[in-house]
Amino acid sequence: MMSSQWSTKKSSILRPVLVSATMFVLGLALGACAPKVEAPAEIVIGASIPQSGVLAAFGSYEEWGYTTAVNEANTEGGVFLSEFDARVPVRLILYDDESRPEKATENTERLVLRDHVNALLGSATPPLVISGAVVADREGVPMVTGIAPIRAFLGATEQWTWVWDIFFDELKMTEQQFLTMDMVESNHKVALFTDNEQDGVVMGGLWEEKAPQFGYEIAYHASFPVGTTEYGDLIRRAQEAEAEIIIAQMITPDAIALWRQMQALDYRPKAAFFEKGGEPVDWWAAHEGAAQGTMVAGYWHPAMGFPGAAELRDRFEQETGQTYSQHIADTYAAALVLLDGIERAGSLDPEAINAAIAETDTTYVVGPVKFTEGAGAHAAVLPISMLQWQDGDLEVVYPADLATAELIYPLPPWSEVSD
Amino acid sequence: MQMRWLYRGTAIAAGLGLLVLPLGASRYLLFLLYLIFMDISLAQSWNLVGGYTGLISLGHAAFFGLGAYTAAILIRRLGVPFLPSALAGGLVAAAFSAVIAVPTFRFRGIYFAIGSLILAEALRIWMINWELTGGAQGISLPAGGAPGLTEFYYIMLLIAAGSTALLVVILRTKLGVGLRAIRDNEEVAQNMGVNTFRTKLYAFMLSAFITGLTGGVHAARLGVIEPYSIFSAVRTISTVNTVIIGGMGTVFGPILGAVFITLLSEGLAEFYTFHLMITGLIFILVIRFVPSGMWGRIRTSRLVGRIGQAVTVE
Amino acid sequence: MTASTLIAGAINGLLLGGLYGIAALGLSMVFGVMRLVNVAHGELLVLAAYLNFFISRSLGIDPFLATLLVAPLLFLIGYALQGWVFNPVMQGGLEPPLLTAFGLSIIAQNLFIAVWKVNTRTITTGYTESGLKLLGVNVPLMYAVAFGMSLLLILGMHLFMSRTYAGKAIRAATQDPQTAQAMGVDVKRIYALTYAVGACTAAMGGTLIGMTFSFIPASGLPWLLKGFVVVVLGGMGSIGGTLAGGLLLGTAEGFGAAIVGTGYRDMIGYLIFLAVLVLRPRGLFGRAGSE
Repeated sequence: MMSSQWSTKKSSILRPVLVSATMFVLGLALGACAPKVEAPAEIVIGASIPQSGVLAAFGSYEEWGYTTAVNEANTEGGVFLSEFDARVPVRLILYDDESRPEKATENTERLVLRDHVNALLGSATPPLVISGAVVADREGVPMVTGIAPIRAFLGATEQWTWVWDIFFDELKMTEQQFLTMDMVESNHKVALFTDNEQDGVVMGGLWEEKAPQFGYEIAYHASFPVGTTEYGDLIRRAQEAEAEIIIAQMITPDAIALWRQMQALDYRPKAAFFEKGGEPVDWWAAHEGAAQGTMVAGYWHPAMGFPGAAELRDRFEQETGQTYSQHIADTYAAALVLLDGIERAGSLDPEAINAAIAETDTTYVVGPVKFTEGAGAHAAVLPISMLQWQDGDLEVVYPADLATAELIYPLPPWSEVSD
Repeated sequence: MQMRWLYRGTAIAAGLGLLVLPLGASRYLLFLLYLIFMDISLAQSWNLVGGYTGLISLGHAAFFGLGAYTAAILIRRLGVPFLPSALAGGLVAAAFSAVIAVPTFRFRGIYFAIGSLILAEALRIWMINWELTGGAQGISLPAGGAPGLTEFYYIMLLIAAGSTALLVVILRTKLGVGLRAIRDNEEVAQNMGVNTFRTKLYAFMLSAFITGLTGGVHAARLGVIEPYSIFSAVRTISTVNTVIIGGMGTVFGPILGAVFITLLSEGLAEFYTFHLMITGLIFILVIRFVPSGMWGRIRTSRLVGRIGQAVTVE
Repeated sequence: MTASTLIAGAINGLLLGGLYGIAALGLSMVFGVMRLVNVAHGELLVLAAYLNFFISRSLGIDPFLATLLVAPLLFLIGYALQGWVFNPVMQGGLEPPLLTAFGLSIIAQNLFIAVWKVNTRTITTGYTESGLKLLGVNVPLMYAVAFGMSLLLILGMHLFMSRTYAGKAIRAATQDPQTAQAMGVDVKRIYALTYAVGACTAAMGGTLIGMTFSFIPASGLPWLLKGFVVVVLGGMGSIGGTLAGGLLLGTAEGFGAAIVGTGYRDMIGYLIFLAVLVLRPRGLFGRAGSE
């Protein structure tokens, strides 16, 4: 046993106690003087979007919308977090889900597990959005999304906890076609063309239900898989049913094929609504004159008068040289809702951000956003109207108080428009 | 003899390491390893028929998808617990493989490859249209019932280890000898008394079982499955890449390939298109210059020749 | 469903079958001559469609005229591919070339995405959306055009194979490579030539596909599978057989889709494929021993 300065007498107990107490007090003092917790270096936001695959058109608008919102925030130095009394820059990570739900799941998991995102933005169309949303909900990461009709979104689970959707309501949307047709004369016979994916099935069912309520008849309903290239048989049956009105819910490549084949097979409806597929500029570009007069339900038009709408459209067209799409507004707004939520929360605590998003009640470029629909109120409804392709632009033709142009009816003869 | 123990020792050490890994690892690492284990399972099962029997199947997606759907339907509609459902998935896939083996084994070589691809695509179309199984929307599993990432890690580790071990064991049996004889020359094997049909059938069914089981497990992990993705040929392409780049017809090759392919994929995740091009290029280069794959190359390098001999069960 | 819909379906299908025949021609040739299963054939079709799309647009010419430029391009690409990529692996059995083509198709598809993005493209002219009445049935004009083209092309190929030196050399190399080699025919060059000619037919096939339907980078696989069905129906390497196979497939599809629904259209072909392979592995028209 070593001889020690520390004797074993009573005084020796005092020393360790004194030393410990001193250290304790010093520690407290140091702790009190320690600098506040450092603000995080950045806010990380992730999104899996269809940059390739059949939904890439949506993906490109989404990319622009999300990126633009984030860049805007960063020009001011980032989002202000009150917890750290500082502006923190935002980093946006994007992965390509190739329009495949499985990849969307994988990407979202990678964003959460590897990239440690603080919040997420959604993909496009229900299958992709829901795949990512399931992961977000499971992992407890707040996610704001657009481009997912709210009934399909809400119907995917009992109740969402962490995911928020801003889009139109299919219940309202499936009435627009009939309301628009009420403005003109027709034989009230409708041929439905719906693909067998979520949107197609949900909306197909709704149209079947609502048609009789509005005094229309579904004379023929064609259901087919996404990716169908040959529609001859279906078109012939629609012709047999003598439908003057076509309502379709399909992706753009399929819609393009259907319309071309209708022309070739000389099927001349008086009105044609191409939901989802007929909205991107690809649709007009593929047919040029022949798409004149085709309609698609829309939730946004620069002339609707929401703050910054026209400017957003101009910016998009200047930056990309392409024609705008309503989806730039929805995605841009979704990103802003998320960033605003983070700012209101003042920190990166997921619960706080989630609670802040729930309180959103502002008018954005896409319109008033307030989460009111569904279990737990996780969906915000955007008002819906009917748009029509006229000379390369989408004009609002219904309702009358929002209209930017007269409804063209019936569809002009092929010979007049094909070049 | 010493080398054998070196091999065993390494395997045991690695196994133990993987078993305790979840205690300290990040969730991302678990996620990554889950993907690697899944790749290994799919690769080894493909290796069994493609590498060792000479049956190049381009339709394995069918087994994966059937396993996934079976498990999903059992879980969702009949409330069967997760593990039995996944096992059932494997069994259904194996049964299906037995049924199609009868007509398709007649196709020689190339026709089998194309025929299997077309069969898988036909099944995919059927599932897209079949209302009974949810049509294009597929089947979604109730949220909250699924095991956590750690459980999936262990399960997939088990399947990967199991399929590799199974391969090793089979190769030492009469079945294994028969397989390789068929690969080398089916007619000669037949003349030598190998019941080629039965041998191919067993290998095929085993392969289908493992693939289906993996599909069933993965379905539970995904939470929602739909026919476009789950029957997609993209997965088959990835599996074939893995086996060939790693080293076809070896036990360790697919493991190496799986690690390489998964890491490459994750590393280039933000450049998906580019990553696929690179993989395709490596694939072509391997076929041309290094047909025995990465592992084959390492094996034949004199430096590790002796260690390699102990590892492979040729 | 009425009898007239059935008939209309069958007639439309028959004409479309012409397009199927052209699309499958290159695949059939290359397999017949070199036993190479060119799973990258779909990508050749898509490449041709893209090239035609951009060339006809920028030069403002009709796509059929543009094909005169696209075909030589595809010829060169095909020649290079066979020469540099495939020829070195032709010796190791049938699998290495198949797998190589596999890898090639992956690279090609992603190259298309990188260069041309994923927008849906379609080659449009004043007449691509027109229709005409044939036997009282409405058919798209392009179907009829494709049918006519297929007859012309088949005739042209037949003449090429039987009247030209190159064609005869190809046939010689197919029947007996050893002897052909001994007679001074450079078999490797012949293979390259064959692939190149096959790629040329893909130029016409791709153009027609782009004009009749639309395409994206991933459009190769569905057309490849259709090609397989046609080839197995018509027999490997038989030119007339390929056309017949195409017509058969088209008609069966048209008829069948009218009965079981459009969703199962592609599956009809696949089931036919499997059935034919099981019953008659050398196809309906193939020569014995050509499997």
